[in-house]
Amino acid sequence: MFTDQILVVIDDPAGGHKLGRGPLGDCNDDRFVSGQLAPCTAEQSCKSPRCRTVSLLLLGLTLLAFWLQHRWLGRASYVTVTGKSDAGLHPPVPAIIRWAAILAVVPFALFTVGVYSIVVAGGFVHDIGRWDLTPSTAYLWTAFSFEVTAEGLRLFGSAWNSMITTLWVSAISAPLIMAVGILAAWLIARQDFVGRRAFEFGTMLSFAIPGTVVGVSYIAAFNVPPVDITGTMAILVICFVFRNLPVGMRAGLAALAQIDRSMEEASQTMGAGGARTLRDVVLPLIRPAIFTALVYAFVTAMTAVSAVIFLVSARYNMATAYIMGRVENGEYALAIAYAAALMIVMIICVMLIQLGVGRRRPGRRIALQTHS
Amino acid sequence: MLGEDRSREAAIEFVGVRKRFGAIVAVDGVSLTIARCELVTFLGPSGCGKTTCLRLIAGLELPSDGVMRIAGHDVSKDPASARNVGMVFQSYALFPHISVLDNVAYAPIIRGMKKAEARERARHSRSGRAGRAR
Repeated sequence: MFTDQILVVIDDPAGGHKLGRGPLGDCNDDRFVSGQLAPCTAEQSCKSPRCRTVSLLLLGLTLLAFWLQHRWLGRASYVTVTGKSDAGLHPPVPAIIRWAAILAVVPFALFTVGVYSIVVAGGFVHDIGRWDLTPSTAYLWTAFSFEVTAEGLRLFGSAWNSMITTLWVSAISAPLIMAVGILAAWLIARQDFVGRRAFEFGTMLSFAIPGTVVGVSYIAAFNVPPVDITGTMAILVICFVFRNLPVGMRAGLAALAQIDRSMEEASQTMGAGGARTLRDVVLPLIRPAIFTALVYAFVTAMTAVSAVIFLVSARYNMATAYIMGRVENGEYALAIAYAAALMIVMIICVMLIQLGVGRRRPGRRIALQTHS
Repeated sequence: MLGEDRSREAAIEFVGVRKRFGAIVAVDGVSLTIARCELVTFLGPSGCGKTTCLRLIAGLELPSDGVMRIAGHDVSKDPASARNVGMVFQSYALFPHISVLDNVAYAPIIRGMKKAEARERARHSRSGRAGRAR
């Protein structure tokens, strides 16, 4: 049932650009794909013995992954960014590996493009399921109709509320996840303090629990005073921040592992304190990780299904919950139109983040290599 | 202080300095005095603690035991940023994300010089002239 979900969260020291993978035991999209519910999804009580067993099992797997990672990657060095003037060109990739990579990547890319095209196309035709390809914006209009009146812009579409909430939640939680995650990574990788390993492990725990369990727990915990925030936007933001923090942190740790520590030490001997060194030396060098953390956090907040099912309310609905509601009502066309709009919005947001964060320029060698 | 012969003043002084990394003792009770303007070479097989000694002087490591003085001041607990000790790293440790000029101007800016002035002075320094600013 969940073999496909057992993905080990290993630092990827070479790939600062990689996006994180789904956490262990998140039900996310299984429900539409398999037509069945994952062990711990919306309608099943998370207090059932079966569900508890599954949660424990998933937790055990996470512990195992954490242990394996420390065994494998613990003492090795992955420094690629040093202060040396020239690290030389990399040897070219052998032809056989190049072709193997192409063979693996191209079909996957085609499949992905295919899925995305169907959704985008589906949003702008009458009924893609019955191959009725008459161009139509009726569903899109139902979801996102608006009117410009004398008093300004008025939004009538039924999807505006959830779309705006989703954008707000994503825009608030993504920078928080990035900032706290990178800072935590820096503390773990570069500072020495008592309980460092426990701190690192503790941050992983929120990632190990199935999303639906997180959702139910949040409701149980924050439904009574003094912290009565069920049904607010705050609970959505808090949920995403804590849940996705490990991704920001792992991206930061992977990036920091690549950076020669002597550059930070050099900065210190020149009189710069920790904060100054972080700002002037470390952060510019780990830009790819900042980008990864921001994009992952943003995209996850926009697409997550599991925990938010419990946390949304009539006032603060999220895009995914809205889409699921439409599917349950049999309004597939409206759901697909919304999904198309969501994808376009997301692509624009990711491009804006890329524009804002910028690229790392660790010397001229890379420029020479790509231009030759 | 005035009138004293500063050339005889000990610039760097180790008194029973010891540095442990867990079970490993990297520097075991070193006592030495380096006078002002004295040139000293550490010579020894790899792993004997040469680099650790340099890192102790720079403040990148703090001694487990013993006292270290720089120009008469006890710096045993001072961090690197408070010591005013320069160090050239084995890997050079130049910042790859900024230009040669900004690398040269970095230290003066940290020490409080105005950015424009630091860059101007770096431009006229030998290393600043040698490297072409990007």
